[in-house]
Formats: sequence, C-alpha cells, structure tokens
Amino acid sequence: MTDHSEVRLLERIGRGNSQAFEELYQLYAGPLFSYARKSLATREDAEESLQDTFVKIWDRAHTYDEKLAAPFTWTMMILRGICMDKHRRLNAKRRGKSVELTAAPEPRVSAERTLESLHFAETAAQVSRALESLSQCDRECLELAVFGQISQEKIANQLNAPLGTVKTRIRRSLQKIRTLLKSHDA
Amino acid sequence: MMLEKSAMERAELYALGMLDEAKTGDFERQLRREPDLQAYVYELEETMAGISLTAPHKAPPAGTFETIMDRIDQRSTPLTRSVSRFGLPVWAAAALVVLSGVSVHQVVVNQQNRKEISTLKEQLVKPANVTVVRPPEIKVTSSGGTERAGELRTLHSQGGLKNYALTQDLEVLKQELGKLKKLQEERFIPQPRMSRMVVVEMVDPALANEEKRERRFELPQKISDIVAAGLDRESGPPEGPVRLSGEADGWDGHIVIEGGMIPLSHIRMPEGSTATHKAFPVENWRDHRGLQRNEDGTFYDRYTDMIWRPLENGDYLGTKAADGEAPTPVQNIETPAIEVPPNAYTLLDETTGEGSIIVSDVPRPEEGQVYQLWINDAFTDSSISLGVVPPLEDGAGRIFFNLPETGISPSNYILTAEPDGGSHTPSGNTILIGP
Repeated sequence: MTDHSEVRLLERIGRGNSQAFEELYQLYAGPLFSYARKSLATREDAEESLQDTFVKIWDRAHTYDEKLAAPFTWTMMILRGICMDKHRRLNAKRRGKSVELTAAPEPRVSAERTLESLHFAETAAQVSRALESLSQCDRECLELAVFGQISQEKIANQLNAPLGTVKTRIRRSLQKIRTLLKSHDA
Repeated sequence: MMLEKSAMERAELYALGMLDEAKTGDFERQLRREPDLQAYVYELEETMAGISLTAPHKAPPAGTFETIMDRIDQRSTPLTRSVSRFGLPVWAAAALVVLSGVSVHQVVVNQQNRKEISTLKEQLVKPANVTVVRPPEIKVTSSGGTERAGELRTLHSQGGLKNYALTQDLEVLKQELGKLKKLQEERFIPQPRMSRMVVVEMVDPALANEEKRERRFELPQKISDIVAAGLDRESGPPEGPVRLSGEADGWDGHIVIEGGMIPLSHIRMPEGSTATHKAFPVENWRDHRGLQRNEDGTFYDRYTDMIWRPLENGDYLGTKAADGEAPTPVQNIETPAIEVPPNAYTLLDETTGEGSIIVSDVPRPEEGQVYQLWINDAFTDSSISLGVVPPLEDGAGRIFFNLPETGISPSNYILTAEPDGGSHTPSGNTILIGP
C-alpha cells in the first residue's frame, strides 16, 4: 500500500505544512474512523481516537520512515495503539462486553464510500474477499484480535473455545490473508 | 526468508499488539538485529492495515479536522490567543483588571511572559520555519452595551477571586518561563534551516543542576557549520531537513577551514574527502586530542586517519591516509594531566532519527562493565536503550546511533555504567545526563 505521494505528504507534514496535513486527513480520516468505530464501543471514543491519531501524526510525521511502514500502515499503527490504550482503560467498566464485533453482517465495502475511501477500495475489496475465504470461526477469531484488540485468552473465553485452538485460528487466518495479499501484489 | 517458528509467532503477536511490555521490548531488540524479521513484521503490519480497511465505512463528523487543528494550536501556542485564561474576551479581562484593582503592570508582565514563553516554545518545539499559530479568535458577541455592563458587574463581584487567580497565573507563568529558559540553555539548535537537528549537552549528574554552569556548544557549532557550509557549497540551501550523519557530514567534497581547530576527529570522512586548513594549529597541536606531529613535518589525526601536509602558502591540506601509509610520529599526544569532567554532546536529526554522541574525557568503565546510552521517550516516559558504547580510546570518540523506532518522542539522554553486555533498563551509575 506504499504510495509515494503519501510519503511526500508525511514529509511535508513533518516540516509543519498544514495544507499537507489536511490532504492526508481527507485521504485517511474515513478509513481510520471506520476502524475506530468498529473497534471501540462508542462514537465518542472513536471520534476522540481519530483526533488523537491525527494530533500524533502531526507531532511524529518527522519521524516517519517509509522503510519501516507504508504511510497508511503507519497511521493505522498509531490509531491501533490509541484504541488499545482506550480498551485497557475502559476494560474495567466494560468487562465482558463485546464490542459489536461478533455481529458483523454489514457489507464490508459500503457502496456509499466517498472519494477518500475509493483510494483504498481495491485493497479493501481484496482483503474482504480473502476474509470471506476463511471459515466463520477463523474469521471471528481474527476480527476479534484485529478490531477488538483483546488477548487470545479473552477471545477464547468469549468464543468458549480452547486457547490453543484460538491461537491456531488467528495464526492460520493471518497467514492466509498475508499470503493472499502477497500473491495479489506479485 | 528463513525464520524460526517461534520468531514468527512472536512477530504475529507483536503485530496484533498482544505482546506484553517486557516481551515487546525484547522483541524490538531482536527486530533491530534481524532484517528478515523486520521484513516479516512489515508484511504483517501491512496485512493488519489491510484487514482494518474492511471495517464498514463510517464518515467522521464534520468539523473534526478543525477540532484537531484547534487542539494542535492550543497545545503548541496556548498563550497566544487573545482570550484570557477564564475564557473571557480581552476587553472583559481588561475591565476586570481595572475593576478588581489588579495592577496593570502585573497584566503587562503576564503578557510579556506569555509572549516570551510562546516564542521559546516555538523554538523548542518547532525549530523549523513552521507557523502553526492561527489568527487570534476574539469572539465578541453582537450583544449590546447593556449586556456588557451586566457582564462587567458580574466580573466585579467576582473580582477578589479572580484577582487571586491572576496572581497565581503570574506565578505559574514565571515558573514555566524559568523552566523553558533552562531548557533552551541546555539545547542548541545549530542552524534555523537545519530544522530538526538538535544538540544536547550531556554532563556529569553532579553538574547538571548548576545554574551557572558554562555551556560548551562550540564543538557542535563547528560541526554544524561544516555540515551547513558543505551543503551550501554543493547545492545551495537544502530544501529539506539536513542529514547529520551519513552522507551529509562526510560529503564527497572539500572542506575549507578558515580558523580555529575544527574537531575533524568528530567528522566522518569517507575516502576521497579532503580539507584545507587555513590556520592549522602548528604551535599548539598538542592541545588537540588525536593529533600527532610526524617526522616529515606532516600531522596525523588518528581519529580520522587524515594526514595534514603543509602547502606553500602556509595552509595545510588534509587527505585520508593511503593504505599502508604509516606516519612516524615525533611525539604522541599524551592524555592531559588536568582532570576534566566527562562530557558529551548528542546530535540528533529528528527528521531521520539518526544521531550521534560525541564523548570526551569519559573514564574507562570498571572491569565487567560497559557504558550504555539511553533515551527517554517523553510520550511513554520510559528509557529506551540506544546501545552499548564500544571501548573508547582515550575516553573520547563519536558513536552513531539510530532511534529505535518511529513514533518516539525523545526527551533526555542518559549514559550509565551497566554490566557487561548491557541491561534492559538503566540500573547502574549515571555517568552523564542531558539536558
């Protein structure tokens, strides 16, 4: 997903260019917010996380290294870290409560996607197809790990499955998606 | 790619954020050593980002970007807006001052402090030519005079409390100003356009809190001058941030040194580099660590492996010593008898995360110990190892390092004595600290 124009955007942001920052926001805010909405329980938490993510992007753009991660991956890593912190903080309050992950019959790529998400539509469609190719159980485990950001032990509890099975499913699913994405890129 | 299954499993847990803090640290250390593992993690992170894209599309609320910019503005220049601490417009705050008897001088002092703090913060936080200050927002309602008079009466009735608050405000500002001034003294930003290069002086912890300690920034100043001059000569002012290590400080060119003894021993000089010194310290060469005079009238800098030969016009030409060229010294430099406290400078290009530490007069570590350099991450408030310092000849040298990961917010550096092989967290005596 490396896009050199986005690398340039991050470089400009690193030099304090607010116009580049707004361009990046237009590109990334939709996908990032969508992830935050699915990962976190409330809209307020998702909004706050999105804001925190962009504030960090502004602060840290000068440290971005394209050798370590593609631009979108880098921003997603920031958001996931923020969501993870939020999960930890809210864990006590929401112990045992699912974060609307198990019920996920919504279309994976909405027809209402706007310009910014068209940018990612192809990748999203590929991954969606790859996810569809997984068994229901494997997909469930992977989605809880990626979106729910909960430990394997908690996933095992939530799905009432042995821990070893959950570990295997997550690993298998991740490898399968990775392999499919790699073969498509090749 | 030949990775062990256990390494792959750890990489997967790392990418999923499922490793605990201690294991994450261990894994990141392993990651830095193993390019194959880095490539695997890169792929996993890409996969994770791809999966993240499958979340049902939700649009962020309108106005979010403006809110983000407001947050950035408020944080970086929180005192520049023309709205008082209490959220009152300036005219109301001024009226409050008059009615409550707070001296105008005090308010002026506050404003001066605020302006100075704002300037200092801009220099420290964003040394580049970056303007993030947005136009002041003075929200004056369209209400009439009667409403204003009512507000003034309310303010008057609250005057005592707010007078006290303003006084407290002044004290807080003074303290903040003092801290920022100290911080600025400890940091040195060599060239305004070398936007993200920050030099930090490291000193003995016993000296760190001395208010009137002499700052010694001449050395990094000279290094940065060379870097800047070299770049200017080659291609004019750089468009982007300057890289301190790597190509920039050993550019394939020629340095002309006008005066003083530039600490060439601290500059990486690749093959083919040459330098002309217009005021070579022929008389006081002994003052320069690493320099030796040779029988043939040349000088040899053993740190850079450069030989300095006299030219007809009195200048000295420096070239890298050829293979097998072994100058015969007249007299080796002896370690100065004067005991000098250890000191160091760290030079960090915040754009690339590449940096170096220049240490001087550091005593030899005790048997079974090594020196280890740490950086504190302001964001996580944790110490991150930058590496173990290799053995130093004469307790001096320059060691290059890279910040270990993206996203780190470097605050201060620490050099500690640790057991041989290094430690996971700083545990031994602090040798140097900065700022």
